[in-house]
Amino acid sequence: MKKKNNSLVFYIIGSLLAAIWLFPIIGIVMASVRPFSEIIRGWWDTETFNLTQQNFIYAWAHPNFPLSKGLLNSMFISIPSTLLPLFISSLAAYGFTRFKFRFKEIIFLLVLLLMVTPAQMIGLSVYKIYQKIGLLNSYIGLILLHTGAGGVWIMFFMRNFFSGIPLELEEAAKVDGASNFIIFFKIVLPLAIPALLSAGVLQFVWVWNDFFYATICMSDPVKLLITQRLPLMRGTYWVDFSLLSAASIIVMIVPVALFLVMNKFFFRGVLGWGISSK
Amino acid sequence: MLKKNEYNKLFFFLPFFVFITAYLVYPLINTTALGFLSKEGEFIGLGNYIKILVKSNDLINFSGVIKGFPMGALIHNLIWILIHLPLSIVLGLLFSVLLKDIKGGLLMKSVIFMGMIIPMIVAGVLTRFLFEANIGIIPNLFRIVGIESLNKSWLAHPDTALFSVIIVSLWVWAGFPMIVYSAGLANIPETYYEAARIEGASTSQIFFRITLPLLKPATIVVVVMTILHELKTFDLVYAATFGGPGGASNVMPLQAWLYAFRASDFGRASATATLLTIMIIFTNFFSISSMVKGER
Repeated sequence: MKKKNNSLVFYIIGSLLAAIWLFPIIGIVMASVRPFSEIIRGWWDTETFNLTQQNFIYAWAHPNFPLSKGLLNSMFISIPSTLLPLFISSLAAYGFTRFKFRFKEIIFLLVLLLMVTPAQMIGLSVYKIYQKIGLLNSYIGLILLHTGAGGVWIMFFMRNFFSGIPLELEEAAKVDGASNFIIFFKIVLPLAIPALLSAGVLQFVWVWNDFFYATICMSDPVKLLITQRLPLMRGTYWVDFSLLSAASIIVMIVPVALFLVMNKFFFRGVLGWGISSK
Repeated sequence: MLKKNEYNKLFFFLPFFVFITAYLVYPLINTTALGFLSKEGEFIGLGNYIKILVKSNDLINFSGVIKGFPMGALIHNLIWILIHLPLSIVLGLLFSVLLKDIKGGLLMKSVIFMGMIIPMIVAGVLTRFLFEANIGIIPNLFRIVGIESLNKSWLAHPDTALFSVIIVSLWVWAGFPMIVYSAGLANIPETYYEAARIEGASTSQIFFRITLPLLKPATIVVVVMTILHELKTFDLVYAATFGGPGGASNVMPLQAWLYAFRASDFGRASATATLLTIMIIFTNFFSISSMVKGER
């Protein structure tokens, strides 16, 4: 009986807090579908209430920084920046799980420590080098940077997963004379698909949401990524919050949709990543 | 000579280590080295560190610490940690306990976790939207309860700008401690609670004597990752205040960027980034070792 009372109280407080967390999102949705003139006393002011899609149309086809182009550019960056590190980090993770060699533990630990490096530490040197070799304003440059910067946590995440796979399967294949590559691609990777999805969605969202590396690498107005276009949309003298809200929704729609469909993979991914610091 | 089998093992590691070397090891060494060079590229020893820490008010502003914001980017980062870290832990615990077994708990967790999913640059725009006078909900709430001094554009005033971004950063981040603590809670066997209840322990006794101590590993993860988040935040401040007004909400990552791309001084920028790295290593080391000690 007592337990039931408790859970009702929990339920009420819990939903109240979740509602508070949802409130800012409701705000920008409300602002985005109404003309700015209607919300200057707050989006909850419904004295006049007209729905419009004008904000979305304007943000999508903005005269200087169209989000439509930004969305395409971000896709061009995010997909290879997910697949490439997923591939090379899985290879290394498998090596760290199964192969025996000298100083393995120490090398692994040193690699892990690199994970705390702040983006500024990486970005400043990469900018200098890219400037010299002409990789600024190049998609390839940014994709390689994301691969290097995101590779370590994916490696750690995949190693956590690989060390949970029983050895028997691989040993049976080894007896049959299969090489390490065959074992990895034919036996281990198919088993790892759920883990690859977890790491993949997190890396994709991370790259999509990235702003710092994008600003370091991309300055050509045509090549700007979607996140870079958002701050450029506020006017010089006044801020149209309806337009900014619509633009914000377009910028976040891809990661949010991905999250809504695959939230369990996200949670699993974050835990594997969180435990990384233990 | 390596045997064929050993040789192909190398290929598992080769691409990974090429990337790690090019994008982590080399920048770490090179940026540290750049920190000892002047804007013109001459070696000046600790000159940049003296410039940024002592000769300018960018990182530490002593008179600001007494008179009010701006206090310098480094101090702002410390204030950020002092406010944001304990609140993140408390909120994460609260959410994970409240939403543990209730109906719709996963949905509510997903809503709270949404802050982690949306781009930080959007969170920055959101900050402007939440804290702007007239249009924003926060100033309006203070107007309704009659606190007129906070019914203003928070981001335009030095005394409130930093707090607005810290508050939004809490909204962004709370989902992380919640998920880590939820996983920690799921690992505590139900029998522990049953035994405690049979012994007649109260709910609060159970929480403080059983749940909290068993969540220590989760807390270490939360503390380490939260400090990383706090010291690395860039986009949020960039979009919300750009460090302003007058540097009142500036933080170390943004200051490094400003040195490099506004003042074209990669020496001071690199010194700032190196200092940030040292702070990250130091605070993480400090928090991990103090918690490990506490365990003994």
